[in-house]
Amino acid sequence: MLQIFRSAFFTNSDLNGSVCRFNVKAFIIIAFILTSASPAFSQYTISGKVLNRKDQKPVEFATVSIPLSGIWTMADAKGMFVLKNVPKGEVKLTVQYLGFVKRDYQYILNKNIDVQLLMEEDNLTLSVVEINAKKGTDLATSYIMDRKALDHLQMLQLTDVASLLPGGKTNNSLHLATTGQQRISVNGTSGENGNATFGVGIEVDGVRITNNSFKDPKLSPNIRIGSEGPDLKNISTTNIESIEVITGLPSVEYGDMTNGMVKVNTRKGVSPYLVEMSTRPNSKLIAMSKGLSLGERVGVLNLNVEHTKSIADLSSPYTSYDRNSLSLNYNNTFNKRNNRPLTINFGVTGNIGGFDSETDPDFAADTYTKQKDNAIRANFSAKWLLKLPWITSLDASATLNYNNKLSEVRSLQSTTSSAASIRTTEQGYHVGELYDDNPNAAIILIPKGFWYESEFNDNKFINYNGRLKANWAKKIGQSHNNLMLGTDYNVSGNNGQGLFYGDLSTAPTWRAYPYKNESFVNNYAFFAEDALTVPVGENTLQMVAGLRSEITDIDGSEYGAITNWSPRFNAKYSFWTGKDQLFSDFSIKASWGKTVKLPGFDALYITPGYRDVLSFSPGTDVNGQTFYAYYTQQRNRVFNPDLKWQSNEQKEIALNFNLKGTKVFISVSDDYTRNPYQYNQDFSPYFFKYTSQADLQGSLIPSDNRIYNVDKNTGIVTVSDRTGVLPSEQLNYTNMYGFNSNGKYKNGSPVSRKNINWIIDFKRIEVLKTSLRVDGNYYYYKGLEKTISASMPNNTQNMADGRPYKYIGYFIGGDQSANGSIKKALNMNFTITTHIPAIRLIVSARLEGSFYKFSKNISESDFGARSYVIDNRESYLPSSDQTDIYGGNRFVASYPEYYVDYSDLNNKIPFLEKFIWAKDNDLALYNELAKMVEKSPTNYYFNENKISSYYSANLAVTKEIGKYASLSFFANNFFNNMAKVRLSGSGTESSLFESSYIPRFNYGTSLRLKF
Amino acid sequence: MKKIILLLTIAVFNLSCKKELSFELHQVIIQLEYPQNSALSPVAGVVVRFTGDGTVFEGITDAQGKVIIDVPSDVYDIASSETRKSGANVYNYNALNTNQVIVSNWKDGDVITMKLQESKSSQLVLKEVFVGGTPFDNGAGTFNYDCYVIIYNNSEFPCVTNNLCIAAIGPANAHATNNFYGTDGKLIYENEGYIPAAGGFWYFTQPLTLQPGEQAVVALYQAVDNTQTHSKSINLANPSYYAMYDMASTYKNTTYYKSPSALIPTSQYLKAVSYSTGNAWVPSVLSPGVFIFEPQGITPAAIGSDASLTVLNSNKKIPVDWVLDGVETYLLNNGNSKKRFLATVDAGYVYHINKIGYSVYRNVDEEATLEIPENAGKIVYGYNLGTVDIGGSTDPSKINAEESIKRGARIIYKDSNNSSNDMHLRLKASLSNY
Repeated sequence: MLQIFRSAFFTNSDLNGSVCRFNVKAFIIIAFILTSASPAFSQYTISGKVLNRKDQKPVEFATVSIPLSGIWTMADAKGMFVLKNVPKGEVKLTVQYLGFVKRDYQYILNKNIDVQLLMEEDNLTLSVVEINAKKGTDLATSYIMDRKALDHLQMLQLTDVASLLPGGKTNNSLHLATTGQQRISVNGTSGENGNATFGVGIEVDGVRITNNSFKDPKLSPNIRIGSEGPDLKNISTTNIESIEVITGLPSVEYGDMTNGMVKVNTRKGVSPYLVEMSTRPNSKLIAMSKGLSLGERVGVLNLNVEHTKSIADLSSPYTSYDRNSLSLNYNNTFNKRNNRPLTINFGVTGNIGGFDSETDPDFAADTYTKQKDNAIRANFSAKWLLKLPWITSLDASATLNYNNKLSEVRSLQSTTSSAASIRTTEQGYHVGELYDDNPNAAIILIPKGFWYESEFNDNKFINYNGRLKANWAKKIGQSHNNLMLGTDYNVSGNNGQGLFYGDLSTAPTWRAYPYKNESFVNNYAFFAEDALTVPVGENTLQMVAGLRSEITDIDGSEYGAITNWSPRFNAKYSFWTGKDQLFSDFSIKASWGKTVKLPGFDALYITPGYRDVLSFSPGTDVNGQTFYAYYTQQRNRVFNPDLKWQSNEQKEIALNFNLKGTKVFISVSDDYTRNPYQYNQDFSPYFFKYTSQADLQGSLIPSDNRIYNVDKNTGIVTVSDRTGVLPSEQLNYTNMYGFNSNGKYKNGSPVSRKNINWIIDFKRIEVLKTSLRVDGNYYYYKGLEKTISASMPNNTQNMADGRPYKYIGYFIGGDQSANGSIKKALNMNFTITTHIPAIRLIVSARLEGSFYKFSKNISESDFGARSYVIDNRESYLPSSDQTDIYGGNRFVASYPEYYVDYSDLNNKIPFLEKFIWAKDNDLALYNELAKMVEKSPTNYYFNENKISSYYSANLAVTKEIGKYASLSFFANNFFNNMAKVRLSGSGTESSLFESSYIPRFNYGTSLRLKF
Repeated sequence: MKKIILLLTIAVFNLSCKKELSFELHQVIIQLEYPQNSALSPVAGVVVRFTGDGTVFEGITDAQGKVIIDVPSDVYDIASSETRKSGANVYNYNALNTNQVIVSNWKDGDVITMKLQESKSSQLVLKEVFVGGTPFDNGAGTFNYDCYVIIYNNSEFPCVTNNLCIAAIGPANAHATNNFYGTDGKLIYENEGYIPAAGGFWYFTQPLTLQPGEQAVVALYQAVDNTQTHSKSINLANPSYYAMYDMASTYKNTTYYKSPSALIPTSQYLKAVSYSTGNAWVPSVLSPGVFIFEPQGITPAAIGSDASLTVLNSNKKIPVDWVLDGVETYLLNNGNSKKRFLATVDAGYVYHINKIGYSVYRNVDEEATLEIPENAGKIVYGYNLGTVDIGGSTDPSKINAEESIKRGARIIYKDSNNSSNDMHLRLKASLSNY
């Protein structure tokens, strides 16, 4: 551990390409000198009471804090609190508690003061209620959704919350009963290069939800998408107090993400019994929570129980997904009297449930798919306010996440003659045997018949994390400086058994590969961040500079230890804050930084593979038995020692101002993702001998007496007589060859994304108690893959002479017609909210509009043209007169850059020139090379495609009935828009009804009872 | 009081105004148009059939080849077919107009011209196509690998073919999006004289000789005794059968292709030519479009490698002159089907369904069969394996061909190059034994 610590500061082993040799040690020393060089300041005490404005009752456990000074305390049973050693001058005090509105108070401190802080209950009687995302106040651009917004949204699953972001769209998936993963995308969507959903960091109470250690040996990796994000179905939604989505650069505390952060905070604090019941066509939810005060000394215990059941098909309510979760959270602050409070929080959440289609009568009897989704998450944190001259507070936290995703697929199988199931891991030729004769045979011949097969895929993700953070807040003159230093230790692994079968005598071709044999990945991180807040006259300048260094250590892997650096800078200047003038609350923010995403297990440990080729195929005898022989090869686990970690560089400028009561926020950001993970294949030939029934026909031994043996190394088949009468015969064979594909993870070409987000909250029309919000997002994406990859698009074809295809083509950016795409989208949402506090009602109508949706397939290369226009669908050679592939309605052919013949893999032959030559000189070669040409499937493939505007409207109502109940109703796409959109690229129209453009008409209602 | 009077008035109105159910009839005139070079002229007595949504109307032509018929509003498929003998050859005339809309804006007396396509009947026909699969004995699943096609010599003379190929037309399903239809609503190969063979095809490695009335059974996947596991399946372990098994080709999928029974000599294994991705040759189980052809002047493997014959990436152009027979099937109860075969190959369609062991089987040509003197006393009537009650079809001749063949008869099947007339959906595969 110490060695690694040292190596972080002294080695140059920086594999992420950026030359950033930041000397952290020097940075700490300088910061120390700067801040300790300040003269001592006068300090005063703030004491007071925290009361509920409505009934003047004390708010026990309320947190009173001064963020810029890094000090806090808790109110006691009488609501009393004392904050000592508060520096003289301007002070911003914050008081918050569950169920109350967070409030800020400003004081100019030049003596001890005693204050009364009145807190408002958080419900619809407030004069201002925000049911959309609120702009976060931290420097990193973020959006916060509080409980009222989440209640109004009636969240079924965590991914629903993306609709509240600027320009966000309502979730298309209406229920949880699917074996597919529910992922959230914050910046970029799946289907784009750069692993956009894999790069989102998701935390629930500090516990990172990740599927870094996910493995699925049956998943065939797409050549462009490396990994996808974690499945979020099992996170219970009723216990959530607030969600913060950070689209900008988060603090250096957070690592292992490149496309945004989602932070979920659960309820902590005293609260009455809350029973929530929610229903919509496919899902029902019931939950109960309570925040119990165990007394001033003991603390608060929060309990939440939730049951959600979602069915896939209303007309056949059997295939379902269940989520049963139980959460417990203990929170207390000790040592309040000494003004060195220690706040301890301990939480445990467990979830049992999953997908189950067993009872579905539409499936064949006794066949089903089940997927467990059992998880346990625990988090422990301790925050200690030390208030020493050299350290203000110390935070320690530890989290644990265990997720059991055992899936079982039970199906009915049958065979009418022997089915070969290959089990051997040895290289060479093996012949099949019956299971009853030898259960450990290299190849098991499954006899004819039918049976039920249970296939299990056992993934058990384990992640644990420990973090230690120290804060040192210091006032320098009028400025506040906070230096944070921390360290983070993260371990992820998979304890699952991998793919296995219930009955080995009928299991198909399979080799044991327990995931738990792979090592765990250890990640150490060190981070330092300095935040400086400087008042400039009446304005404020805030600056944050941070650096994170990550050291990943993978045991038993050729990667060894890899270091990455992520520097992040944020600066914000605020003018005219809180001023009552035409143009006020103006702030301008700029940030630049880098974030890094660790690779998933699939990239670090490629599942060992085997290639089995049929080498002997005798005729099937009268009993339905066939003694097949196979040639087995071990597929190489190809490590890429040059694999770099995926990183994202973000630049952002954000503007905030208040124009006569209308609040405007605009942010412009530019993301450049480098080294995205990508799975590619290369090909190598192999040679084997094939013996067929034709070679057996001349045998003198009667078929009933035959015993077959195959030489493991040479592959020659020998037939012997069981009775021993006739001599053994060696059979003839044919020499054949084939190609193995060897996969490895590489880094792809960079991906560029640009975003413009805006939120305009118009001034409320008091007479109508109605306000209008316009939020929107303009998104630009360009991904162009320029790396060369091998492809045999026609490796399933033979040459004209019947032998396997022998050429390997090397394409730029893959063997698709296009090697990249450009996407642009403009989404705007208009939300009209009418909030009448007197009757505790809030009604919102939201129009989600998609005003511009542009996409274009592109084919470009640095070596010249990659694709050419062809005269018509049937041609192969480039057109002589048309050269622009984007000219409109043109068929386009894409050629490999060069190709090789399997007999001489090092001789790279340029493709197009040889192809043109072969047309006139070697027609046989021309016909073979033509099989490698990738033609665009349609003549509008390279056309610019614009989708005409479309919209979807949502309606939601929440009404509080006294203080004991609250009823919400929502209808999404309530116009059930059946209009058509026009796709300009193909000139066709498509109906919006039940399409993927807008969610289906959906409605639901929730009832919340408080007592 | 006022309310009661109002209610009574409304009730009286409703009872007295009896709405009469009426439907409009439209007069449609059909004019059959014979091909330009044909020496034959219109005759009376040709049947023109209107098939609507659950209704069928028929009309008979007059001497000028014209039919006047009254039909209610609907969307119709209008079909007409006629067979004439001329010397040793049999000529078929077929026309099919699909999706003809006749509704309230139809002008009575408007004429629809039907262009008849001429085609010759050939010696070899596809007698049966069985690709739908067999239900398990316990009903819990379907066994899909006992598929076969039967090629039959329907003529008076022995027939020898070299490199006979079995292919399937593209797209795999008649109700799938068909990219061969151009923007004008017509097939792009309509006037080009070819049909597309999709994905790949198989061919006989030895010349195939069939005597009159002799057939060749070709197993598509597993030429073994499947009945030992599934009693409703087929026993394909027969030394006279053929098997599609070529492990040297790219069709190596061992779930589909199992080694044929040792009884079948390897000279009866077919070889495969593949020109698309895919490790098995699988005609659709829903609406297969199987056809047979005999290439002239080029080997089957060379067809697969010839880039100039490729159309729409994974299909090869097969000249219509090479095609001996094809069967167009539509999925039962699916209204989105479109013709794939040209009218000269198969002008009609027969409904097909999978999973329950049904096959499509050729109808018996009663007239031609009874003409054969050796068949006297061997023809069995009372055919009950039709599927009319589920919307399928049956053999209108009512002759039980398989029973008759067992008694030594030689059956002549109908071959007017029109599956609407020539084929029916059979309750059981003819080779099954239950």
